[in-house]
Parts: sequence; structure tokens; C-alpha cells
Amino acid sequence: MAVEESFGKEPGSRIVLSHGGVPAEYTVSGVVSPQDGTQDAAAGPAVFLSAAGAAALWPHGDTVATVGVIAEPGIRPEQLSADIESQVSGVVGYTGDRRGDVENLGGSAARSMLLLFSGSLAGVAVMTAVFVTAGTLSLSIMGRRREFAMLRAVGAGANQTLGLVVREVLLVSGAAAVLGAVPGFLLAGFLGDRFTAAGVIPESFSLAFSPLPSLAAVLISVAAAVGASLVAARGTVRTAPTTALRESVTEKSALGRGRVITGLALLGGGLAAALVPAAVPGSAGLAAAASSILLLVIGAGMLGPWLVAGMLKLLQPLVRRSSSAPLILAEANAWSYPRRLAAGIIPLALAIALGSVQFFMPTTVAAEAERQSRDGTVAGYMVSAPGSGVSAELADQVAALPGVEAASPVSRSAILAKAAFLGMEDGVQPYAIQGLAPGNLSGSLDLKVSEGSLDRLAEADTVALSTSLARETDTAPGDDFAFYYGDGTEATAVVVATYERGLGFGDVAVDNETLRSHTTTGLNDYLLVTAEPDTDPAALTAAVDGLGLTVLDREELGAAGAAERNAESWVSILAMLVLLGYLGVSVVNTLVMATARRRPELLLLRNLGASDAQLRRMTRHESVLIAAAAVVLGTVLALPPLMGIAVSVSGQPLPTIQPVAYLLLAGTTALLGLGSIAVATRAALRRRTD
Amino acid sequence: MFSDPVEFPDPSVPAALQLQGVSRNYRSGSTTVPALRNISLAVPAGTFTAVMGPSGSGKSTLLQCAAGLDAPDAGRVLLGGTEISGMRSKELTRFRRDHVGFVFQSYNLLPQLTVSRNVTLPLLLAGRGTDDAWLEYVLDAVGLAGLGERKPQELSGGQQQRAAIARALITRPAAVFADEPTGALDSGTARQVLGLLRHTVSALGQTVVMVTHDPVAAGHADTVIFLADGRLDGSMSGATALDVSERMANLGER
Repeated sequence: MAVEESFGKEPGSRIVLSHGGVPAEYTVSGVVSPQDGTQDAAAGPAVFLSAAGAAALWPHGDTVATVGVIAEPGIRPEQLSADIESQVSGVVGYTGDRRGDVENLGGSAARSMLLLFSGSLAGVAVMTAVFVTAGTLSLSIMGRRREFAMLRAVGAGANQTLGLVVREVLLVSGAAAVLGAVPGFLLAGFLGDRFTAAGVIPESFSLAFSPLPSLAAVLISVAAAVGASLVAARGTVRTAPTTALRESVTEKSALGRGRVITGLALLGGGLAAALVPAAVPGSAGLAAAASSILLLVIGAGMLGPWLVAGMLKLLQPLVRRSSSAPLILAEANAWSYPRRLAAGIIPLALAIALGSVQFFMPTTVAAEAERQSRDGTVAGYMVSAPGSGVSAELADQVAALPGVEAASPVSRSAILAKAAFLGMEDGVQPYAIQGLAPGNLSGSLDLKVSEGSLDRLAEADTVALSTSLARETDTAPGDDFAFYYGDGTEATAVVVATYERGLGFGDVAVDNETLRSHTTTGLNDYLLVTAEPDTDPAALTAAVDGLGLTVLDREELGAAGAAERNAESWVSILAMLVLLGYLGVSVVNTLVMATARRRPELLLLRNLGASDAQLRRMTRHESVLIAAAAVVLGTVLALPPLMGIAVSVSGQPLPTIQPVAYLLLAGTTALLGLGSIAVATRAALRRRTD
Repeated sequence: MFSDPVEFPDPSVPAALQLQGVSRNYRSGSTTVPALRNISLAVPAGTFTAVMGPSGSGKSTLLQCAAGLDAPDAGRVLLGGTEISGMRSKELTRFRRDHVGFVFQSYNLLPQLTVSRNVTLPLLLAGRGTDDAWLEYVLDAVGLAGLGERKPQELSGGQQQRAAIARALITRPAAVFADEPTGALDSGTARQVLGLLRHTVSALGQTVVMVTHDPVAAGHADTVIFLADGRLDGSMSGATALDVSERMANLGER
């Protein structure tokens, strides 16, 4: 065999490799060195066998996985591929770049993962951009109210004034978006590297760079900014010029009827969506609960000044009795400028709410999966082969060990099945599947069967589904379930049982041998071993070790799909960090702008005898109010979706929240608010105009 | 010393404000523009003084140096017997808060505070308690009795300036400085505000220094000081608006 040079072997030397726990000795015939970027670190170093050597290990008889075709000169590959597909039944041809998908299965998975990831990130980013831009713009437009009133007074129409704002925004956002496109390419490269390092995408997967996504991003950003400016400016610009010139310099917390109704409707809709899992099981309910946060956040944003006024009413008794000048001034400021305050609070609350849902949805799912897997694994021992799987022969040897009552093999893989999302066809979705030996499960595995019996998996063409998948696909015991195995084989099986612990053990279960015939290695992932009473655990462990196998801790095993979930949650955390970074920049921008605009007020107070320390304390009180309100609001907004998610996965409204992650999120966000106001206040006080 | 609410600055102090050889230059680029050149003057306590001069004559700079809002480049400023030139910024802030009252053209009331809070703000910032009887007395004296709980923007321009005057009086300052206090008011309201300033001097014994370019406003003062090109250009006592107008027309021709 030929081996990669990383083995450190010379041609002619001997090497022992084991497959399925069965070791074999090979002679090294050659050493290969992989080209840069073509090796897949996650898959480990490669070895190459002769056709006969490979066939000896191949578990599926005289079939092959892939046939490489070399065309005669002058033949177009696409044409040849189409000809082969039409003349040989049951084969699929791949040409050009797509050949990589066959050679490296990770490639297509990585591609669809990246598409999903960037799609969802783009959605949240655009929403955040609209939100933050609208907030910042309304702040700046409010500051220019007099200017607009003057324009209107000298004869400019409302639409002309609005046009002026829109043109300004077009110019600024256009320039900013184009500038942002350049670091976008660098960031894409950086994220690609990080994903590769985390094993989310294979090392041989190269990113395709094209100007088109940047162009689309520029257009979307500009459209978002213009839309936000229209929302922010309409009311201000439409105000009659005399009213605008006369209107008081403080702000009112009263909101327009339309805004109140829309805001309340969004909050109500968000709460309803968070409650959906109580009525709708499965991923549909989960998705509804997870996306309810968007409705809640937008609703809270619309009612911002209202919520601020409400919170101030709660705080009032605390401040009433104080005789501290900074505190009294800060309270008066908060009452008089609820919009300015809301413009600071809402983006911070948005960060905390979105961040909490993003962080604690995976932890809630993982905690429940682990609980199910722990509760469902009844067997005393788990046995696996280090680095590979357990062959059927080895499984029999383990079963024959003294003291072993039963050894039930389990293999794990994934299938693709058609899933309906809220009644709509949503294409095929991957689901975790496990292959079980139906004979002696009762002592080793408890999937919490709700209908039918797992024993019937012994019959041909049968399948068991988790209750959530059954409801999602609208199937019941007795119905047919159609799916694709990991090797592409299409199958239709009769549902013979439904079980509740789908999250911990995978949504689909079939007969062990059936599943192994559709996996590349044909090996089991582990054995569930029940010992006879009075068996010495140490002796059993030693006996298992003697076969070259390892006894696993139950905790080590992890629940089905734990690796995928880890990668996914890692990706979503990274996405969240990018988003929080963006939010941070915009929040700092908003707060610095709002504070800098208060320079005349600060200077007046200084002329009236306020010391700089008093002024700094005043804005610090305000920033504490902003940060505290943001933490409270953000947390309150995140709770309904998280509780809905918890109901969806476990039936209990108790999400798993990691205190450290929560404190980090809330603390960082609060510090952003406190820090930017403090810095802006210092800057405003330091600059001397006279 | 201020136990009785009606008692005003100690009359034994002969001059409430003294300027000795005060100069102030502004730098714009490489050139230095003198705004005040060697000004010396004394304002007796319990008098109403108007500072007049054309635009750019340095009258606002004079007021700012006298009130401790700006520091002179040379010379001394004594306010209520205390030398404030050479005080450090923090010290000066505290002194201004406790001993100087300001009235600006644009009222400069804080819209987020009620009239009462605006008036007592200097006391609040000083950490001193408010004497409710004194507050009521001052509000009544400026004609704002019963309007203390309103917000400034609910008052007319004249009422807002009255509130600003009340704020200037609340600390019983060594002097009240007014910078074009009637600049934004119509003539009827302006007359009432000037009458109020006059009243604080004659009835409360307060010292008022007012900068204006309006001869009618200056006509309410006991003494009118004229400024031209940063130099003192004489003064008049007991002058009428007409006298002041004539004098202004011939300013700098001596």
C-alpha cells in the first residue's frame, strides 16, 4: 500500500492498521506527499490500497461506490455523462467541479452549510442594519428638525424635504457600502479559515470569490438605509413648519396610533409564535419559537419610548427622595428625552435578546438530547473500537465473553427524508438514524416507545420514527415512510413504532444489519453490553480490552448528532459574534452621536456652576439606566422564545442557560453602553470652542 | 450673612466689581487680535451698569472676563472683594456657582426641568438646600408667582427671561451679569424685563452689569460705560436713551 509521508514509513517497511477493530499488517509500497490544500485534516492521513486490498475490506460484496471514467479525446464530458446516465440505470454522473462532491462527501455538505449560514446571517444582519440605521437616522433627523422646518417655511414641499434626506442617505450609505465591500472579502477569507480550523468545512474546500455578492450586498444595504430613513424622517418632515418651529425642545413619549398598534401587534404575534410549540410539535414549532424573537424585538423597538417611560415610572420612587444634583438631572433628562434614551436602549437590548436566543437554543437542545440519551441508555456498559467501528464478528465475540448477558450492536448514520414545514414542502432534510438489533433491546436501550413495538424492526422494510418526526411528516404506525440512505439508495418502509427520545438517539431507527449494508464501512459504532448479575466490572473491562476494544463511559458517548450540533452551534456563535461586533459599532456610534449633540446643554450646566465631575456623573447615571434597561428588556424579550424552544424539545418550559455565557453577553453589552457614553461625555467636555 | 432673605450683598464693600489693567487677546492663525486693551474700572455695589459699544468693541469679552467665564491675558479682576483672575478652573467654577448670576439673551433654561428646578439649579449643583420662602420670594419678585411647576417652554419669552433672572438672583450673588437680556424680546416685554432688573437693584440692593447695544435698554441703567476697539471710551450717569444714542453716534471720535 502507499501511505502519506506523515506516517514516517519507508517503502518496504511493515505497518499495522486495524479496520473494524480487526488489525492487519501491510507492506508499505510507496510514500505519497499530498499537494497543499488537498488533504483533509479532519479525515486524517490517507492510505491507498490496491483494488483487491480495498475490496477485502469493502463490506458490500462486489459492488463499488464510484467508477472513474476517462473520456476519449474530443468527447465532451457533459455529453458523455448524460449518455452514461441514460444507458446505465441507477447511476449518477458527475463532471467538472462536481466530481469533488463524490470524492469528498464533506464538500457538498460544506457548500449547503455555507449557503444556509450566509443566508441566515444576511437576514439577521439586514434586519439589524435597518434597525440601527433607523435609530441613528431618527436621532440625527430629530436634531435637524429646525432646519427642515426652515426649509418648509421658505416653501419646500414635504416630499422635497424628504427627497433631500433620501438623497443624503443614498450618498452616504452608497459610499459606506462600497467601502464595506473591501473588508468583506477579507472577512470572508478569515471566516473560511476559521471554519476550516474548526472542522466545519473540509480543508480542501476552497471559497469562490465573485464581485456579485458584494454588488448584491451594496444594493441591499443602500435599500435598507433608504427604507430606514423614510420611516425615520416621514413624521418629522411632514410636521407643519409652524408647529415644528414652535414645538417644544423636549420629546414626547406619546407615539402615533399606527406605531402603537403595529408594535403591540408585533409583540402579541411574537408571544403567540413563542407559544406555538405547545400546540405544534417538531421542527415547525421549534422554528416558530426561535423566530418569534424577531417579532418581539421589532415590536419592542417600535414601542421603545413607551417602554422607557414605563420603566422610569417604576424607578421614580427610588430617585424621588434623592438630593444629588447629577441624579436629579439624569432623571429629568430621561423623562424629557425618552426617544434619545430608547435609541440607546433598543440596539443594546436587541444584542442581548438575539444573543441569548442564539446561544441558549443550542444549549437547551443539547441538554435535552443528553438527558434523553442518558435516561434511554439502560445497558451497564458501552463498548467501541478506538478510531473506527466494531465489526459484526467482534460483536459476536463480545457477546460470548464470560459474564456478558447481551451485546446489542448500534450503528449510526444519517438519512435524507422529505420534510414538510408548516404544511409546505421544504425539500429533503437530513435526519440521524440508528441501526438496532431488535431482539434484546429491553435490557440495553429504552427509546420510550409510544406506539407499536421496536421488536417488529426485525421484519423486512420496517422503520421506527421519533414522535416528532412522525408528526412532522404526518405518518403513524402502519403508514409508509420514504427516505434515502446515506449511500443514495431510495427506500420505502412501513412504520412499526414511534418513540419519544428522538433528540437523544436520532429520529429514525431501522434494523442494524439493514443500516450497515448502506454505510461505507459496514461497521457498528458501539455495542450496548449488559452484564450478568454478580459480574466483576474490572474483569469485564479487561476482557473487552483484550479484544482490542474500549469500554466507554456513558458520558463520553454523547447523544446522537452531538458533533453536528457542536459544529452548528460553533458556527452560530461565530455568526453572532460578527453580528454583535456590528451592533457594537453602531451602538457606540449612536450613543457617541447623542452625547456629542448634548454639548450645548453640558456647557450651559457648566456655566451655571456644574463641575465636570458632576456632569460626568449625570451622564453616567443615564448610561447606567440605559444599560440596565437594555439588560432587563433584552432578557425579558429572550425568555418567551427560549421557553417555547424548551417546550418544543423537552415539553418543559425550562431553557438551559449557561450563566457564564449570559453574564458575558449582558456584561459586554452593558459595558459598550457605559463606555461609549463616558468617552463621548469626556470628549464633549474637553473640547473648548472659546 | 444671608440669613434674612431680603438682605443683599454687604453694602460695606464699596466696589462689587473691579477691573485693573485687564487685556485679552484672541489669536486667529498667526495674527493676534486684541479684544480688550488695558481696561480699568470699578462698579459700585447696588448699582445698575450698562456696557455699550458697537459690534466687535469687546463688550461681550469684558463681561466674560468680569464674570469669570473667560480669563484675561493680563490684569486683575476682583469680584465682591475676591480676586478671580488667576483662579484655577475648578475653583473658578465653584466661585461662579456661588457668587455670580447670569442672564443670557437666549434665556438658557433647561427644557427638561420645571421653572422652580431651573431657578434653584445653582443651589442644587452646590449641594445646598433650597430655602422655600426665598424661592417663593424671588419668583414673586420676578412676577412668576404660581408658575414654578411649569416647564420653561410653556412660558412666554418674557416669562422665560424672568425665570432666568430669578435663577441669577437665587444664590444672592456678588453681581448679576446680563448679556443682551432683551435681545430676543419685543419692546413691551423688554421694557418689563429692564424694569425688573432695575427693581432688583433699587429694591433688593443687587449689583447688575448688563451688556447691550440698545440705547433704550442702556437708558434704564445708573451708569453707562462705552467701549470702542477694546478701549474704555468714557461713561455717562443718569443718561436717557436719547443721550445714549447721541453719544453712541459720536463714539470713538474723541
